[in-house]
Amino acid sequence: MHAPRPDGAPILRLTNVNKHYRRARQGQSDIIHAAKDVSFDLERGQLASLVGASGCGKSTVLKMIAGLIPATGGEIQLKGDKLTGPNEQIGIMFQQPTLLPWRSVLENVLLPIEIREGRGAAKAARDRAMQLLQMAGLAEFAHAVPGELSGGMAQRAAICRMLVTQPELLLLDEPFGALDEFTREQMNVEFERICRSREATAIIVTHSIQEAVFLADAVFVMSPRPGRIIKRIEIDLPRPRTSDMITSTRFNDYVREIHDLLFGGEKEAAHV
Amino acid sequence: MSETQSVDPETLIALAENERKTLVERMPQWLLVLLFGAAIVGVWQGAVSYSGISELVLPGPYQVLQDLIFTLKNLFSGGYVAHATWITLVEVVFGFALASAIGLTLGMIIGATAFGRKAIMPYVVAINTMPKVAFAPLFVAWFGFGIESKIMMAAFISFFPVTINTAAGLAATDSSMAMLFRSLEANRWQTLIKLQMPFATPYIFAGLKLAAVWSVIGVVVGEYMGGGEGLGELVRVAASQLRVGRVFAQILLLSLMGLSVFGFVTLLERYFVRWKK
Ligand SMILES: Nc1ncnc2c1ncn2[C@@H]1O[C@H](COP(=O)(O)OP(=O)(O)OP(=O)(O)O)[C@@H](O)[C@H]1O
Ligand SMILES: [Mg+2]
Repeated sequence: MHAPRPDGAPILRLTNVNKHYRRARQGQSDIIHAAKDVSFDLERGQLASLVGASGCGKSTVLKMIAGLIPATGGEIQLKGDKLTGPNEQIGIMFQQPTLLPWRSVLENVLLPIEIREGRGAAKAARDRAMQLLQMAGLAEFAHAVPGELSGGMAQRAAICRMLVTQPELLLLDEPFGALDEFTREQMNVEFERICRSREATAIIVTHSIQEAVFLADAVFVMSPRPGRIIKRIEIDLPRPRTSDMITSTRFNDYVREIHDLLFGGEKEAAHV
Repeated sequence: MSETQSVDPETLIALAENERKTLVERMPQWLLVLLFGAAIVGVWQGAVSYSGISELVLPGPYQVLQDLIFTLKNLFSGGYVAHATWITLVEVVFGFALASAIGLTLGMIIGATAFGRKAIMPYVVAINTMPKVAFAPLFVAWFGFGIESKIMMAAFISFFPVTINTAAGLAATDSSMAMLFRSLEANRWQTLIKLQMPFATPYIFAGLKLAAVWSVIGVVVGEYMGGGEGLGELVRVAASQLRVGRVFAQILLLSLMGLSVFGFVTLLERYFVRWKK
């Protein structure tokens, strides 16, 4: 559908992206480096995950890519063009489902089209939205209001809303964080399938190392204060990923490596 | 003792709890309400019969009941009470509608623009701190003795809660929903109409309910000051003739009117805010 650009630019490129928040505290202001010199490339169709301790700057990085907060330094490029704000090629899903409670689930899913292209276009896209809901197992709830959904169902509806405009780059902030282990695993399998079928590129923020390895072609490991990407680990596991891979030695070697990166430093520090 | 042993433990616990409860705690609420009402009427009757207060100053319950029946009969047979009720109702409805329109518009300007928030809001707050009924004579001077002055008075008194609640509702928009709209590149108008206004509806309706009650107050004040043909004028005349029973009956009609507008707003609220459990 989309031919690669002749200059071979990656779909997403971050170059020395920085973000510091200034906080005024008791008269003096101190600075929090939520992102420091974050640089990476993503090729079309790659799934990346971003792991790191709470508060290290994962959401900050995602929001900067989505154009929701400005970077204090560096550059973000989408397909070779500098990003300056929100872009319709980018779909983002927040830590909370944030469905509008006064709209039906279907109307919520159609919201991005309604806002970008108007009511008429939204009406025309109803079938597509219904297909998405079907796929997410929510067809029966298309006309229900979000208040009637469970946490996991709301999360799935939010995924449908993100997908309805068929963005090329998907950004997900702990999308399955509120789900139980079992549903979570199902969602992971389903999500991987969707991304592959559309050749979508995605960055998934997660607290779960297992989930990070399971979903990704590349895991970015972040360390806090300042928020830096300390390592990019390519995950060389066959696709599609299946649940039984989780018990394989290869999978667990990756998990251990990331675990040691995240927690090893602290242990050593504790011994000193 | 042998008898109680055969009773199952739960019944025993229930019995024990019942014994600990006072008589009042065990009585159903409707009965208490009725009894208390009857007690008040009894005291009232006693005060009228034995204190020597003139029936002209404080009529007894029976007299008031008769006045109420007279007033209601007149209302339903299309007499002068019906005419006055109609006039007042028209004033209340227009006053309330005007207050809602002004309040919503002003609230949207304050809630959605920096100019409104910074420049207009202080004036609205300043007006609210004034004793607004004191303006009633001015409204009569400006808008005459017809229904216009009453409508304006009602609107003036009751636009404030709508304004403030609309502005507060718009400002309360959920920050992650606002972020969602920004990620979708929604413009300000879309954000206002598709996100902020629906989000603010529970707030707006709280303001409208206050305005419903306050517009009746505004109309009555307007009628006391500016005469006319409404219920307020009837109350004024009846009071000046010391027909206190009539006054009570007419005030009851006014209360019912306020209650009806309030009920209507509540119905609308049920429809528009049904998403809020
Ligand atoms: N608007 C803000 N103003 C000031 N500081 C902020 C702001 N947003 C985030 N921060 C700070 O930046 C740091 C990174 O925050 P961020 O939300 O990116 O963390 P995170 O990695 O997503 O954490 P979590 O896993 O808990 O969601 C934190 O220390 C936080 O206190
Ligand atoms: Mg976060």
